[in-house]
Amino acid sequence: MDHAYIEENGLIERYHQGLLPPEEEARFEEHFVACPECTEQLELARGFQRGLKSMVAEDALIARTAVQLGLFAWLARRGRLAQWGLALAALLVVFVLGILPVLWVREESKSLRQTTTSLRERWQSRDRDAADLQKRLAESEANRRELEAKLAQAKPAGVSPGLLPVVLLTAVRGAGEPPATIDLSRTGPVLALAVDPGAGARFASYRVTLTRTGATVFRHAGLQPNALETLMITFPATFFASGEYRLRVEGIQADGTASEIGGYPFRVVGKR
Amino acid sequence: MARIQAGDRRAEERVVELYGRSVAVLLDRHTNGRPEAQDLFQDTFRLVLEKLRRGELREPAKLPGFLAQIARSLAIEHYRKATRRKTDTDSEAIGEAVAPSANPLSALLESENAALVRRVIRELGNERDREILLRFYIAEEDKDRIAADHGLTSLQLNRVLHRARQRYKELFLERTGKQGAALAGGAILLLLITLWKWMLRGAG
Repeated sequence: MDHAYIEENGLIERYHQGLLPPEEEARFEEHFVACPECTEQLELARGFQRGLKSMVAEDALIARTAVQLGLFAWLARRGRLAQWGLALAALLVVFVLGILPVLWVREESKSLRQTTTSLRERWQSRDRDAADLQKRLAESEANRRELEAKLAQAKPAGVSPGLLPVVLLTAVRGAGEPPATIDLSRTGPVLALAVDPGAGARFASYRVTLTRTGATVFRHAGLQPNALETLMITFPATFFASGEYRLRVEGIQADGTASEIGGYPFRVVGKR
Repeated sequence: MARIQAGDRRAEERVVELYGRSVAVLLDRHTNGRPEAQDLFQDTFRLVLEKLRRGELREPAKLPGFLAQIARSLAIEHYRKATRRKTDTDSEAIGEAVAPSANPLSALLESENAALVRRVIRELGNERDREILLRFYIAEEDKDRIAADHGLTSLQLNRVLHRARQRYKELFLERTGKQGAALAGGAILLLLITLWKWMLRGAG
């Protein structure tokens, strides 16, 4: 392989571009490894290509920078008044953008302060309410203790605490239903029988009849319900003896006609 | 050959000095300027010198071909292994490899080189030649097609390219003030040779 052939066939360029067939490429490589002249030409081609690529890259960068600097160039071409105007507008935008967060923070902190004050007032009010309730509770407790003391004094000896002197009678609807039981040994000297006549029908007055094993032992008319809408009849405990009783309640109309409301059986046990 | 077989380190250094530049050009071409060319350069001379020490090559005239063959084989083998390691094509990685990221020194050298080329292009004073150079070296278009587009023969086109390269060489020499064929790759080559010598001394 001689230089005339190399030049004629442009081997330097073709090798550099990688366009030689493999066999010719191998032959050329065997040549130029021992040929400083061809080696130099190849080095020049490589260096030139790299330099050219760097140059093109630099030009592209300069072009991009020029576009970025275009705005400043445009500004530079404006009149002095326009430049000042634009500068002031830019400053104004920066100022507004800067002041907005400050204003927002101030407004938020004001609102926060108001909320804090309101919460504090509510908390103090709750404190006052709690103290008031505490005081009323203490008073109520004292009243309760006083009433308990009075009640203890008023209760007769031998009466079991907790036994009510009022016996509320209810109508017995079935045969298996046990009637109310009054234990005389556990009552006071007086006991009251209470009956709920019902609010459905209004009567001018009520009449009650108490029987013991079928015999009438007590009858009373002209009764009126008390404030609790209950008919209450009071007996001395000694009135009763052990046995089965039945209280019959009748409603009396204004014209004197009577209507039975119900019968209330009860049992009396014990001795007074 | 006899001196190398006898273990003469200076003779081995002489082989590297004589053929280092051309082997570097060959490997630069096969690696497309990638950094692995430096490793392949060292592998080539290590292998060749080992064979010479063992007397596997007796005719000095065959040494350039022997070197070229080993350098080419190593480069091909290197990329065959690399292809096996990574079977899919990563165009971005290839792009990065072709244009490795520049350190400040290489960026400076590239910038100076670009300035030289810019001057060559400016001095051409001929839009046609400028276009030819750009199409050939940047767009890497087919030479015959470029020649046909400009109504040139292949030889005329070669002359345009040759003229540009020669002017580039003159400017390079003018700038560096050196005589002979010290070119852009010279610095890298010197570094490689120094490394090689250091390795030989270390091995000895």
